[in-house]
Amino acid sequence: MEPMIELAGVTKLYRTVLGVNDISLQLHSGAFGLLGPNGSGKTTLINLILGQIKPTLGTVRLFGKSPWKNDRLTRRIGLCPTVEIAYPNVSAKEWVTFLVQMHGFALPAARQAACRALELVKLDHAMDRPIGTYSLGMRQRAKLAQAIAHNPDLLILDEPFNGLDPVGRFEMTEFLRNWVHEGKSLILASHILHEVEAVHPAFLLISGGRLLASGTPQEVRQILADSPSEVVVHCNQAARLASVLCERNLVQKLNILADQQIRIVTPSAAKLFDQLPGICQQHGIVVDQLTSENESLQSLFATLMRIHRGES
Amino acid sequence: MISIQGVQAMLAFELRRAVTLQRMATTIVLILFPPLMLALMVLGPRAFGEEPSRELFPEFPTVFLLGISCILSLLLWATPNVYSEMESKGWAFIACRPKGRTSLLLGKYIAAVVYSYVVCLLSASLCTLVAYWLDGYAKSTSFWLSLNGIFGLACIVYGAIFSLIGVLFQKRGMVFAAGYALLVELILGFVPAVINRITMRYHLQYLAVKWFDVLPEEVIQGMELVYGPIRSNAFHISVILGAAAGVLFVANIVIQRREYVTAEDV
Amino acid sequence: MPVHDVGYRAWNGQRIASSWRWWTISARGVALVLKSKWIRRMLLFAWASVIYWAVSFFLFENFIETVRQGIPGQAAMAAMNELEGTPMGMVAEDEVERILARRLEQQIPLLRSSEAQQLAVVLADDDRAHSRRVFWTLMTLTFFRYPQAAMMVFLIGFIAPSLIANDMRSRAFLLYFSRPIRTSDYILGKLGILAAFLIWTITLPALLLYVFGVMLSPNVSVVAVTWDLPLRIVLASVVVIIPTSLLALALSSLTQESRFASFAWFAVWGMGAGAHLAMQGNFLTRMLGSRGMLDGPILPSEDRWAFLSLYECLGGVQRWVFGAEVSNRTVLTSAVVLLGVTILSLLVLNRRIRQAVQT
Repeated sequence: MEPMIELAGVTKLYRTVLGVNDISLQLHSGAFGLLGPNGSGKTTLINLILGQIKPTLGTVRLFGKSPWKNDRLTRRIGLCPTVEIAYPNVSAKEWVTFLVQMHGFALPAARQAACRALELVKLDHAMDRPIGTYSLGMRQRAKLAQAIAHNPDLLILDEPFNGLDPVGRFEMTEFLRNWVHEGKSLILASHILHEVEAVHPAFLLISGGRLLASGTPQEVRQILADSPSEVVVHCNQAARLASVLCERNLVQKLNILADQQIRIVTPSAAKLFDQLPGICQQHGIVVDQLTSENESLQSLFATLMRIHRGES
Repeated sequence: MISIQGVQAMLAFELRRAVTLQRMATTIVLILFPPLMLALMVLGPRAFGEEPSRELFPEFPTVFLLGISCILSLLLWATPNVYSEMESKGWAFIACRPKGRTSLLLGKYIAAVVYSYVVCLLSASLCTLVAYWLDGYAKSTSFWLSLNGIFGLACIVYGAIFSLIGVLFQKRGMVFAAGYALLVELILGFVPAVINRITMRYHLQYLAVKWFDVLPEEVIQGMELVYGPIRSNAFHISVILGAAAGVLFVANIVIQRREYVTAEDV
Repeated sequence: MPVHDVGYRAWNGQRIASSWRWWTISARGVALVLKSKWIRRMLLFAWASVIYWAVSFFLFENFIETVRQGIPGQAAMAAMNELEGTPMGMVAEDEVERILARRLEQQIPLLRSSEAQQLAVVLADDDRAHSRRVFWTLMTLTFFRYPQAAMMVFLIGFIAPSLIANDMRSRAFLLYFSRPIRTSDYILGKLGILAAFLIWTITLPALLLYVFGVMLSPNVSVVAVTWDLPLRIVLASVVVIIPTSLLALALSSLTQESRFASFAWFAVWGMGAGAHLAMQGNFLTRMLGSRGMLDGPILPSEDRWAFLSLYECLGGVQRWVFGAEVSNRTVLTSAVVLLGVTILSLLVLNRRIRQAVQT
């Protein structure tokens, strides 16, 4: 089966700034989380896929064709970019209708599609109001509506959770889950791990313009678990627990914060979590609370970089 | 290829967006400038007890003043075609549509031509009324028709040139377009050498001379000696329309091929 | 064991005086603007005309030497040839002036017909010091009026529209005014950015032109006649910089979209110049002059309609500053317009910035 997206040795230079660096990948239909810190090259990669920019080196194929100067392919794509809409005196309905018309829809059909999309993103109550009066979350919904209104096969979202309140985030996650559930494809770019994880995609991990890793959420979790992380344990015998963990070589660094609280930096969280129940049972230690503070993207990428440097 | 629906959508959206206080105020100033100046040309000297200058009045002052309004209107409408979308962050949404870039170029170009032509039309009508009321000008109808013809063509060709400048120098397009108007159309246009024939002013000037038909034969001959020969109306109009089409064609190639990158994209 | 405080520490060093805080805004602004390659090109280009003008000084000095010292130079020979066969006593004074004017025009391409005539009258009186003074003044004035004025319009059109509009758009005011900075510091800081570029574009090239003029003269005695010209250059620069920069900033403060400020800036100059030209009439003469619209008496001493154009108002006051022929009424009208533009711009700036900070 032909891949939906195929990149072969793609590098993009903006004069002396490296946008993406030698990326090769093949993506078949499905949901993908494009994960990377700010400035890692996510937006450049999206622009390359869309044919908005030309790779300095390598080739990009979208649905089997080069997207550069081939904007017919964009019929099958819905893009929700990270930028803010700044048409203060235009309503969301007018704006989305205009963008759907750009796909060749006649005005009545475009208006109908726009209303349907705005209803889907729960903005129908305010769709006739000028965009200038919208909150950040409402503008985010309007952006999503324009991306889905023409019923694309592939939805590309760049930081879609920005500016959304918790309810908005939940609704966005639900919407994206349904989108994937309907069998449509999704690329979700973000720098926040748990936001992407909630949609259950496969991951593409990008940093410094390089594709560091790709895989399922379980595989990413495994990398995280095997990477050094910081764990805070609240228990009834903090000193005892500290002593046992040191004996078993499970600790890189240890602080006793209070009588009943220790902070541990462990070389492998997975190993620690594996052995901790047995230790507690053996020594009669009662753990009230256990938190992992930096199970974050930074530690994930730090680990991946170490792997790439051959340090682990 | 062109997406007619895309161009239509862009045109309608652009005209819809134009309904702002700033644009309306600008439009009113551009419409009123030529007739007010024309009135001042009649009433000003009279206030000092002098007779107003009858030399080529009202034809040439009107063309000159309307020319300023026309160029300024196109400067505001046609030149920031890419930059206005970059500034309002609309580029990312439009460029990822099928034929989005071409639709943006042509939609905005047509909007600029329509809007500027309406400015010229209204202004020319007011100028005709001013010339009739204040100076008893008799050939109002032919004057008005000639003005509309000249500025219709001016909007078409300068709109295309400014659109190309906007595509080439998106961020400072207006400065380059103003520079073009001053250096090429004004200064080169008045250089008594072959070079003035590459300007659009050369063709528009002779169309004005022929359509107004107010200059004595010896003056026309003098002009031909200085600026080059007068050709048929068809020739001048064809050159203007051909230049507009050619410039738009180049602009379309440039907008298709260029990578418009903002800081957020890097 | 010494315990070091590694927490937040207030700045205990010397602070810049509050009256100089605008300098920080100006310095940063200039550095930011200089990042644009187009600006750097324009700044370089702004100096190119100095060479062309300096050559005119050389040609003029050469001309008066050949004509007045009897050296059989090309111009003198040509003038003699034209008068050959005519007993000198029978040659009318205006005929000599006419021939001198024609020769001056041929020798010095930058000289307009009206200026050449003005100069020929002085030369015919055999007053070298006066003619030198007239010529240097005329050339410096035309240097200000034409290439440098055009550069000024385009350069400010490049820089100024986004200076305040972008701050309005990005709410950068919050960053500025969360520091001990007053509205006046902010305005002065932004004005400083434009002033720096205008000094580079107008004042310094004009001063360099003066230096070139002296260097290209046969002897340094020209300094005795023209010593006040550098001071006049500085004063004429102030006349340009303050009203134009404040106007550009005021236009920038009126919008969040810099293109409207750009448009308004060019509209002010375009419409003003157009209105002034329209009121001058003489369309036919202008169109059919030997150099088309580029020729003709552009610097009349009495200009009733100068108030219509900012460019002409600047010209009116600059002519007075340089001691060129200009009527008192024109100078007064022009000065009132420039003062009005300055005050109005300051009021607009003050109001808009205060409004932006409060919202």
